[in-house]
Amino acid sequence: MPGAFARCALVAAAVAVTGACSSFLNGDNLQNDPNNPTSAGLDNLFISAETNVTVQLTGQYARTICIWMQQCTGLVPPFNTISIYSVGEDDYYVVWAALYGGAGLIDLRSVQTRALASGDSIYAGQAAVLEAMLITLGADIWGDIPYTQAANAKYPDPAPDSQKFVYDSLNTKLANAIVLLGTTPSGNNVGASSVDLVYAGDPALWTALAYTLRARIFLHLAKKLGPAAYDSAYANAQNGIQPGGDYTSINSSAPTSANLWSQFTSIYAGNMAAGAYMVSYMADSSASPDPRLPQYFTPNSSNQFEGGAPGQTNGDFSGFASARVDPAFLQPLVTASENLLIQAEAALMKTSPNSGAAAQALNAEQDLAGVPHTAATLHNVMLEKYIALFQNVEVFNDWKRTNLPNLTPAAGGVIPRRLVYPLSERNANTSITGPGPARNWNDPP
Amino acid sequence: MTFLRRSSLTAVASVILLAPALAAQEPTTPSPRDVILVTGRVVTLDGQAPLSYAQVGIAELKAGGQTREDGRYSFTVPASAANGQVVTLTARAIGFKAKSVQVVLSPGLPPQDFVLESNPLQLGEVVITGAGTTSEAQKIGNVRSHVDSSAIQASNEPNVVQTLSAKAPNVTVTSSAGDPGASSSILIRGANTLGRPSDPLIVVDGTPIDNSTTTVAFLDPQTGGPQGGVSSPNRAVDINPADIESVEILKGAAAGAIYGARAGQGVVLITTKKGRPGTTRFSLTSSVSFDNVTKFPALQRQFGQGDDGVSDPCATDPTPDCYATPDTWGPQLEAGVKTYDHTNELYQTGHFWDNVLNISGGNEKTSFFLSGGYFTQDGTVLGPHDYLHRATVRLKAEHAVADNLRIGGNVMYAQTEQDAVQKGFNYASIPWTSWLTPPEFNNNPYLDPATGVHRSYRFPDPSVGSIPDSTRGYDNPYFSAYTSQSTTLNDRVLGNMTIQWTALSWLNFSEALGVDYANDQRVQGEAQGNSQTFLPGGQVLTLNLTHTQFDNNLIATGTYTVNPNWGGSVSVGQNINSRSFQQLGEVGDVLLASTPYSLNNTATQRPPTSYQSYVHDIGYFAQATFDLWDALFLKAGLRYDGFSTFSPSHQYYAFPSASAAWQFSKTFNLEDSWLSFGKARLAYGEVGTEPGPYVSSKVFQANGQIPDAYGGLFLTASQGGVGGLFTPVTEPAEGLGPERTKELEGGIDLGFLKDRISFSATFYNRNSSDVILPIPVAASTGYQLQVANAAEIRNRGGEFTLTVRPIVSKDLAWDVTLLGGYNNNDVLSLRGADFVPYGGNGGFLISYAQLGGSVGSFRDFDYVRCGRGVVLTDGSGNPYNVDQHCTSSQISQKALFISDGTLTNASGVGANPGFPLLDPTQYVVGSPDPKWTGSFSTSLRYKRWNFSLLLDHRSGGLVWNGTHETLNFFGTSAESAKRGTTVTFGQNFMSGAVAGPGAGDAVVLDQNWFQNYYGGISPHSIGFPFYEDGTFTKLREIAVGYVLDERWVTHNLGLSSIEVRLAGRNLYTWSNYSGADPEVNSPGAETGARGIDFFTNPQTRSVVITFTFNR
Repeated sequence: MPGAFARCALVAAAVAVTGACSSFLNGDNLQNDPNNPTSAGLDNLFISAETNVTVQLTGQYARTICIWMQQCTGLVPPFNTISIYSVGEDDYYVVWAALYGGAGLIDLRSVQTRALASGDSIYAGQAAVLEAMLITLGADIWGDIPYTQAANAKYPDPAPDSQKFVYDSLNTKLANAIVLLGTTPSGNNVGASSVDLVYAGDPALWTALAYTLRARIFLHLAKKLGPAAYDSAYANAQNGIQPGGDYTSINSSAPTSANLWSQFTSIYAGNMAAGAYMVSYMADSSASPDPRLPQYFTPNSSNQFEGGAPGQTNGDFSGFASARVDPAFLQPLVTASENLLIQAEAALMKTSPNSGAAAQALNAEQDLAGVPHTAATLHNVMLEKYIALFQNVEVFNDWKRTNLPNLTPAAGGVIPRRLVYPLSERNANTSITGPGPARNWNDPP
Repeated sequence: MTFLRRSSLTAVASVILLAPALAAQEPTTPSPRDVILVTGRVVTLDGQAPLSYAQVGIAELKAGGQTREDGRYSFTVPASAANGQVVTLTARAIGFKAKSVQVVLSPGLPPQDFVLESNPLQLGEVVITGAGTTSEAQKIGNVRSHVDSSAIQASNEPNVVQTLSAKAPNVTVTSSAGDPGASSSILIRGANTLGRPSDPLIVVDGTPIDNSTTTVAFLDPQTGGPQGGVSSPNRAVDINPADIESVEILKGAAAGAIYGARAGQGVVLITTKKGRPGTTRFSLTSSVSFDNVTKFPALQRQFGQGDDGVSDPCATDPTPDCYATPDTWGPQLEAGVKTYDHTNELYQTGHFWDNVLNISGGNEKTSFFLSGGYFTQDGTVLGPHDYLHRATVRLKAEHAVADNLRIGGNVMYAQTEQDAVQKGFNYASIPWTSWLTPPEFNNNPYLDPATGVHRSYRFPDPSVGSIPDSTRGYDNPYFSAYTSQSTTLNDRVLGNMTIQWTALSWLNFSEALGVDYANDQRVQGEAQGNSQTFLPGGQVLTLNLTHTQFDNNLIATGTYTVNPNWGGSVSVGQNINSRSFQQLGEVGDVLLASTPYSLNNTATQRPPTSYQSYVHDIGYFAQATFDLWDALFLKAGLRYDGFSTFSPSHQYYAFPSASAAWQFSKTFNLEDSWLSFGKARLAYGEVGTEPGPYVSSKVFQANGQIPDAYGGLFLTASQGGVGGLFTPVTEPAEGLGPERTKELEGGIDLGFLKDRISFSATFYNRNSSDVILPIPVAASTGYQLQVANAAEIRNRGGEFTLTVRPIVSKDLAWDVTLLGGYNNNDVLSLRGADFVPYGGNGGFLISYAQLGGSVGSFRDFDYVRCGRGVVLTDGSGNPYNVDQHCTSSQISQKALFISDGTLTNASGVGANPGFPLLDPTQYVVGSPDPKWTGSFSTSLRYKRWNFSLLLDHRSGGLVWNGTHETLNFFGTSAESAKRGTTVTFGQNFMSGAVAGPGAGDAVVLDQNWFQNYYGGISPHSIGFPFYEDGTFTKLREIAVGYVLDERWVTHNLGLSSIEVRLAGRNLYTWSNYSGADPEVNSPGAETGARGIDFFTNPQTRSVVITFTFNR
């Protein structure tokens, strides 16, 4: 640096003419950021995206849903205010932005384009499934969301697509992904292997995940479209995730990789506890308490399992079981249990209901969970799913569709059914002007 | 020998003006026969005291001399040059008006004595105007703000930025907190930038220096920014204020234009002291201070820990390792229960000791100034981690190699070490943890007597085994004060070399090559068993920051005279500047043994993080002056700047300026009238602000974090050994140029009754366009921000200075100065947005640049009020238009809308009958900017006594009392003791108009009200009631001094004098503000946000005793 400085000073002193020192203003470390690379490999982008999926599905939104669905309760602000449904207009902006930004849509689209260009169809298929998982979350929360015009330099104000269009597009994307994942591995067509920390790149596992995600999306359409949607859900779930093939979060004991529930309970100790509805249901659901109770929660100081009701901030409540808040615990995100319970629900609700198939699927799931078989009523299926999918945001979609479990809101409150478009997005995107409706298209009263 | 004495920079002009005098300085040894001896004495008018260092000379003969300490001078003129002609003999001295007499030059000339009048307006004196240029004071076409060394010394502040407080109108200095070394920021004529630092460029003896503020907290996932962490220093703290001779503040664009694209926020020119020919002088100054906190927030002592009136079982009957509630909403404490005052238990009387030794002297050719200083301050928080130590050494020397060539060197070394306690929102914060402690909980001892491990009110019964894996919820504040470390150890070398070469009698070259290098090593240590991090096993964070700046300024100045009525100068110069910054941070988790805080002593270390940046600038500048009839002074300038941070396609921008000063008192020959001086001035200038580096670079984020939507939680994008990269949130900038501030300034300077009264008024209109800011873009585009030239801001205001010197005599002198300024800040455009978050205010998302409002406007949530068009839902689910249920006067008063229990707001949330409803929409609260600021200062000298006083006033401007809001939430504030009382809104609670179906109903205030409906700590809590008027008047300085120069001092002690001074600093504050001190800014100088009071260590007041020994 002193060298360039001195050269330029001398030159400039001799001829004080503009331009004599243009090199002084245009070096490598001057124009190009010396801190960050200008290119990224597919693996670099893929691991970021997989991390992003973990963060969005196990972070603040998951905590909120856990509280609203009364699996958990908030004791200390702002979590006690979440318990009484007070939500700021920008509280979930980070989740919104994560759908589209780095490690989200903008990078996943680039991975797919580049992978296809280099002949790596499997990689493109895997990235497409991650994209579908993220964008489904967006459509579930906000309904009509930008998708076609999103993350595209041509559109500074991306217009929302209808929720139906987004779900349909994602179903198509997943169908295409299944085709891509089914191509024969060879040469360049290898996909993400070791960088995929969940499935180690196994195309069969990714294919099963894609089917379960399709089944999920059809369920999300079912309240609006009726039995036909259940038919499709049922059909797709047949090829869905098998036991041992769960898609989980990616966490480890390293502090920068710790399970977010673990990070949360360490930093904000005592801010959340067990929810009263879930604890009492699990404790009372059969002659003996549900064996998952101590897997989810710890006993309180009186060695009892006790949860807090919404709005209740003072009490001797159960915390989260140490295994669930272990830094290395892998949160189940899309599981064989869910796939079975999708089958059970769809079998009951499809055009030609099949209670036998429903019972078979429900009992298979109960075997997995180690709980006694129960009759395959919609109530039993949904309540089993409510317990099996502890801390999973899908519980909120199930409740909006089926009103199961039948929760009593906090006194004087109404459980929200949709988050408003984040204030920051409304402030910057002329195509989204208001907070949006109270309910999404797929969730009519 | 030069004729005038000033800094190295002003010497340029001196040499130009007096070039003929220099040419005659051949060292001859004249004999009495061939010389004429010119002798005499120079004394002052007011005191009839001898004036040393006065210059007496005959310009046309290029001859002159300097007075000694007794005021006598003598010099010789070759007899051959004297033929009985009449010559002009002139005496000049800094601070006095020059006086000339006509003498007939012949042998036997009688002694020529001069009585000089003081020159409060500094007419005829040379003033530095930046980048190597100078001007005589009366020729300057813009307002001048000058602060001299005595005013700087009198402030008793260790931070040179803070010494400027209340010294010039519209130069607002804000101290962020009371911690030793806490940053102070300067805002000149309002905020005119958004995304860039709002502090001015600081130039020391012609070389720009770094004055950045960096908080260590960003490394810490818990505190994550300036809202937590510690109060870090601004780097100008490395300069010893005792080394400063004077400060010129270039406020307007016309004055700053010579610095082009770096002068957008103004320029502060600091000139350090220099040696003078004559006896070597020694001066030792020793000060000691006694500091304490001025005021604390009020806390309640009636109610105990718990919720809903019920004690927490863990607090009352603790089982080992249980967590108790953070709330103090328990039952009323029974009589006899001992309570503790948690407001001030962590605070003590602080001290500083300041010792400065100056040695200066020299001869006609060489002068030197040598200083050494050691400042050590022990702050007002208990424990060993609240201090500032600074050791400084400076040598400034000048030497005349030849009559037309002077070289100078000025080198400063400083080591500054600060250790600061945690503040703000983090679980080790001293104010947070002490003020939240329930009154009945005794924080002493902080180690459990039985187990010897850390106990706190939320974790009252710790077991020995709890250390590695149990946070304490919140630290015990004593534990934090005694164990938590956050040190910055900064080594800094700052200096330059200067060359003044008078090539021809009319042509002068001036060169300054400067370097500023600082290496700042930071260590933050969190002890085993701490609550701040999510690692109760402890953590060590280290951060190494290196700033380097090279600056070369070369200027050639030629003078010309067309005819006696038209002369002037032309300057042409070049400036090259190179700045680099490197940072390396490392974090070690889980301490192996309890001490030391060393990475070596940690179980695991995270991957290091690094950052570096490089910026190069090159500027060319030219300036021409036209002095007409010795009364009209015109100046035109142009700076042409190229910056590496501008878009490569267009890297050069021009910044013009022009000014006119008309000394009409001269034109109309008013000097002997009651109006002894009159000048009208008009100036226009353009200055810029450069973008930050690399905002145009398209890159992928390396080692980035994927954040959770709730604070402090994240995963790194790299997982399982696979490196993660992703598109950053900031879109690469396109076609970025400088912010441009155009300012028109006009004013008048008047002197009355031989300058006994002087008055100055200035008005300006300052328009900043292309303001650089990270403008929010729709996140659905894949980005969230883009740095762009996107806003337009206007500042308009006026400034007034009135100085009266009623008594000027030998034994008694009295002067009074009044300063006043007002500024109106308007955001005119934000590229389509209504508001944008301002200045990265670190977690408090309440400061915004508001279209139609001001920069730094607060936005927050309020209750439903009349006049805002709010639509509620009634009990039957039908829309309920609030304004239809308000009278017109309620609408105009924005009456609070009180519910009857059936109405719900847009979020479906209702309110109990008699309570107001919450409005889920954010509204503009107002601005932290004062309506006007002013100060009153006076000094009185009677014989050897002197007395001075400075009052500082700020009128208006909101302060967010976030401390009060939060203490209300947790139930420890004095106001929270109103729980259980029955009140009626608008009558005996929350004064103001009320409307609505529940208006007038009496209600009982309970925990639910305080936590969820009145303030709170979630991002969408009702903040409106907690904005307060920040008007204050402060007794900034008061001092009385006595100078001993009696015979026993001069003869027995061998000293020339001893000065004894007793001073008070911030002794009293008059304010209606309910919190600790309205002068506060928790985020510090780093962020630009203002008016935020959130769990900072409160401001202090001091009594300072100073002894100065002169020889």
